[in-house]
Amino acid sequence: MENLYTLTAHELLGILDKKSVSPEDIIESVCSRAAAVDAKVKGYVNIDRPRAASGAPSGKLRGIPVAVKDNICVEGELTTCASKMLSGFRPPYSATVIEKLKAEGAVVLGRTNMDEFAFGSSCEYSAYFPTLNPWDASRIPGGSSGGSAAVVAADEAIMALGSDTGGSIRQPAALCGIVGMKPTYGRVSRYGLIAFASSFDQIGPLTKDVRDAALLLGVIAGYDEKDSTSVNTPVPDYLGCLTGDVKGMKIGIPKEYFVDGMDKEVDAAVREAVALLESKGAKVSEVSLPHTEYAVAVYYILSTAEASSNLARFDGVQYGHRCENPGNILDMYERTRGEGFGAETKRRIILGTYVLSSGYYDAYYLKAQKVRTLIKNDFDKVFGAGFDCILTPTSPTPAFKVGERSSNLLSMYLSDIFTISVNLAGVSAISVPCGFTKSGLPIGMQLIGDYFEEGKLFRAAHAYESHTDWHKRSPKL
Amino acid sequence: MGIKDDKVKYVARLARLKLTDDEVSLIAKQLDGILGYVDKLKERLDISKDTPPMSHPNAASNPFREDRVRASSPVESVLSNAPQKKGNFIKVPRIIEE
Repeated sequence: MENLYTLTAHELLGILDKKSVSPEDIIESVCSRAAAVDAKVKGYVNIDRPRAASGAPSGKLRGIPVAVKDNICVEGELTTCASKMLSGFRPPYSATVIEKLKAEGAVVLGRTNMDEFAFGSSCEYSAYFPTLNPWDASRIPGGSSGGSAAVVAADEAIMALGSDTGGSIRQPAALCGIVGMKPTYGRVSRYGLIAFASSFDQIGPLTKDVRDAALLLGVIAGYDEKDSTSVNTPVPDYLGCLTGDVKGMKIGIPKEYFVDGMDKEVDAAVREAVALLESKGAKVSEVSLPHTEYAVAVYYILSTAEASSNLARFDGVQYGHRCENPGNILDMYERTRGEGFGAETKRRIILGTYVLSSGYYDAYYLKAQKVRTLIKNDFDKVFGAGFDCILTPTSPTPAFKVGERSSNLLSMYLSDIFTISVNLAGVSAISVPCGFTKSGLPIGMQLIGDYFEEGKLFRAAHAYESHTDWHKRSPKL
Repeated sequence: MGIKDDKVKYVARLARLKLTDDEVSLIAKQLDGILGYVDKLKERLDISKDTPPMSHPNAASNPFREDRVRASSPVESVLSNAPQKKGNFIKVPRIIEE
């Protein structure tokens, strides 16, 4: 029999139905796999001693081990945002998504590595250690949900949760050769997600194939009165959207996303994917998202402004790190934060505070908010013209080398150039594997959908996947 | 126009963030790079006066929940992560000078 850890959740659920294996067998298989290979990947920061789900014998995810990014609260378990600031922090409650997972019988396996407070695109800004790409240990797995992407790619978890503020699910999914989705803003409750930028953050699935992503989103999506930004609109039957065909779907290719300087192999792989979808009956045509070039600049103003405000709560008072022998209260705040935050976090707090400060607010913050409107209008025009999805590369390059961009901030920030606009507008998007470079690195393509049209994305992505086998390849570890 | 070290020090004070002198000069240099990039793009874009600022993807409305009494978290669990506590309180340095 195949090793259980290599299977998808929907395959495992099929075997469980036949009673040939038990949930304990699955947990055991995945835990042994993690014990055997995680020293090479370093995807986990903590592995719980997982207990087989006690209840929910008929749950939609019964017995399925799920890895969880270190910024999603799990009651009583270490949750640290990969930061010294939260070392030892054990949340007194669980995030809504964790309650939903457990209600369907899933097993929370452990916490995965990330860039500190989700600030980064490479997992190098973790206060613990960098996570390595399972396909090539000299390269980064992407970020900030790099740990979640790496453990799914390395078969150390069946599926994982991440969070996406500017591409933090999709970019690592692409760089690790798996599927990752950022749902529409408001589709999934953010209650219990430690906030980075509250008008951008969404929790979403990282999985081995599209069917698992549809399965997992179906479990975690939905209105939550504990998150006033979650939207009270019914959750469709996502699995029912996987019809296997794209006939008649209108797919737009934004000319602004195929730019000079993009990796040639990425460009070729994505164009081949477009041709394949067209040959299966999709109607493909060029579209324009004219304000794309401003997205990175707008994002780094607005997201750092929100972050500087959100991270004010880490002051040494109620939880987390507190400096030794504080003189007065101001000394306590300043030294606690100076000691607890890493370099990238400090940079973003300073940038965010700067653009909000008196005299700069209008020039930077307010202007960026206006350009955000223009970027949203770009998407509204395309979807208003009847397009079902927009197809782009997920990342302009495959995984880069560890250390290659950590000293050149702008090049690091520009690695999210294709994913950021989606968060600015708040629409939905999925990344699916669409090829490999000659040197064996995964390439991902991104499908962007209108608000609450995740079903269309699953349909197109699943149809593509059923004609290709990129998602079935596994790294040698 | 570059960002001077004393500007970074001023902003760090606003953010209640202690930085070493080395961190201050490094951040000043890095912010210059990032804001330079932002400024370059700003010059190219003409924003109409009528463009409204967007603060959020969802339509702005105030969600209210039903006003009824419900259980809150127990005090012990809420205080369990406090760096210093005394009885049912979190302890901090004196706030009002003597």
